[in-house]
Amino acid sequence: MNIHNNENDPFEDVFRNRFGDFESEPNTQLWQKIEPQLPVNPRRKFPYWQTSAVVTILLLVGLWNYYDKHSDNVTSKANVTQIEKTTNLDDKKNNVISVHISGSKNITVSDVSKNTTNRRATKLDDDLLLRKPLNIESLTKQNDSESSITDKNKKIILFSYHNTTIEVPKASPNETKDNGSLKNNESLLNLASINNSNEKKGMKPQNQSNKQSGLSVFPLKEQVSVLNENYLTCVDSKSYSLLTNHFKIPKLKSVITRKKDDYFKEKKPLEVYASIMPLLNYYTITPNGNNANYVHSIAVNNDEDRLGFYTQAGVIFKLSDKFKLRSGLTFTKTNHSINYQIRTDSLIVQPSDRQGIDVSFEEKGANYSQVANYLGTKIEIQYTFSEGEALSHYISAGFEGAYRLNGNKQLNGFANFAYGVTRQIGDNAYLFIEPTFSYSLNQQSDNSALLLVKPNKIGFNIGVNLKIK
Amino acid sequence: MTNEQELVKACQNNDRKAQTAFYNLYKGKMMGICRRYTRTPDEAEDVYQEAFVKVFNHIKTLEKTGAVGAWVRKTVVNTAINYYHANLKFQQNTDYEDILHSNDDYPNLLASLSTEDLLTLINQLPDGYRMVFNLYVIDGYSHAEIGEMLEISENTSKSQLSRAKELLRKQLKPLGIISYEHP
Repeated sequence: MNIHNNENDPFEDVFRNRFGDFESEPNTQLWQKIEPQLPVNPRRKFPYWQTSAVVTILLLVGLWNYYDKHSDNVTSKANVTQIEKTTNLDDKKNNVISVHISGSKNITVSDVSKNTTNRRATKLDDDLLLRKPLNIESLTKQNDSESSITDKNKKIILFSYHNTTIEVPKASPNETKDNGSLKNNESLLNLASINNSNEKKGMKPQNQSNKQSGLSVFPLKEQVSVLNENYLTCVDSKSYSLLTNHFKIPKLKSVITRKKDDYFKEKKPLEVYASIMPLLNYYTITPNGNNANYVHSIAVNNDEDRLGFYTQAGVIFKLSDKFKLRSGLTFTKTNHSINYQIRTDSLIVQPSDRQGIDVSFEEKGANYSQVANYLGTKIEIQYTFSEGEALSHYISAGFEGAYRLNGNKQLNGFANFAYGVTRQIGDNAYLFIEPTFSYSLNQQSDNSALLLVKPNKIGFNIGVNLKIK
Repeated sequence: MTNEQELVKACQNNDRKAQTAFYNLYKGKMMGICRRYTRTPDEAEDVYQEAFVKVFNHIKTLEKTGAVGAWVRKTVVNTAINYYHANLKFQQNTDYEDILHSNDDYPNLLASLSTEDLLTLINQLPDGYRMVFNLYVIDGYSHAEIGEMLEISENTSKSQLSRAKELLRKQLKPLGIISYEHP
């Protein structure tokens, strides 16, 4: 528009000034007529592939957790030991120290001696503490006059450890000490967590007790004084004799080591792999318009086919413990078959000889059908974020260049993202399952050129990695 | 980014509230254009509706959101031209051979007329004259552009503008505004 170049005619100026910004209030009902014709964001069909991807991931995570939990049942149930100490004033008949260990067994520590030097210990069943022998030693000292209990109350210590109860018959009433302080310090023996890391058997419990906070030694020294050296100690069997002779500090010790991870052997730096996966092609459609032919709207009536497959093979280089580089050749077959309704719109002024024909809007049904074969090469980085006893988990991201072998022979780029799980199936063989999302960086079209379609892919790679000897 | 640009962005995402706000922002201007380019209010409403639907359907193609006003205006004008081609019979009014002259004070007299009166005069122009008059005088297109838009020659555009103005003067005469003389 070059309004300033037009002639300056006073007659024209009158109209120009009057109508240059002329506005007229439209009928309020017009909006009701316009609104239904306005574009809305298309409703998505049920997201099958997204749903299936989420379900699969949840399934895998669930299996992983289940497996981990199952394998840890043996080794790490005893992560936390809860120890409670209470007094049982009603039990006057039996002087009992009752030790409750959460687990499945009742163990009675028999007949704690009234003698200062007499110690009785009970070795807990191996099963109780997961193949780690546990000794419980209860010790009383008669001669501690300050802490002797003058009444006839019995003292009961409840030691909670996985639902197993250990009852330790207590010494005579006047051997049980801890006059008033017992009540006040009932909670002192609350928690002792058992370190299930690689503690070695037979370590000296005295030395380890207060230094390793995770190592199941429940009473601090202050607490010990409260107990007045009513010692309750669990150590492994090798330490038993030592403890019986040199027992000074009450301890509860359970040294638990995780099962040695010997399933996965040291990885070699190079592997070869091959995999195949069924594909679900999903597409993103872009109207392919131009000045003469705007694509007004597209409605997909039916997507008839979107299945394909994807194969790949190549080598994997181990970069570090966590990272691998995977490179290989790929072959992809994709299918897109879509029935759609398309509405085109033209803003081009019609020549006068086409009067009476309103072609500004045109609506028609069309079909988009493409079968594409791609030969490509890919490179991607794998990051192993979890390496368990049986399953190893990783994520990967990479780029794939794929040349279309048929049709318009275009070069397509894909960004690949995957989550994978591997499992050793032989000395040098690993099975992997890898849900993969492949985002197309290019668009393709057909002869009608009305649509631009991104041939994105989602699938589940199933393949094998073989280590090279 | 101005509020208007944000509004355009929202309309590009087919946000219905934004579309309503955008409609309210431009409805007066758009109807003003439609009224100028058409003969009757009904025709103006037809063009108006079609133009708005076009605007909302194509707003996502608008890259320079700052120029949305000019873009809307052009879209309406194009829609009116389409409508003119599609629905109105092109009339060649070549009967006005008289060269009209006016006296020097007619602009002042013209200014005394109401906008509605002047609009009525424009509406009553033959369709081709009205298109050229609007495109050239009010919307500022050159004769070359008008020739391209209306599929006519540049000279035809010029002569039709001249005749449109003559006709307006002739129609104004009964109102006592304009005097014209035979050459």
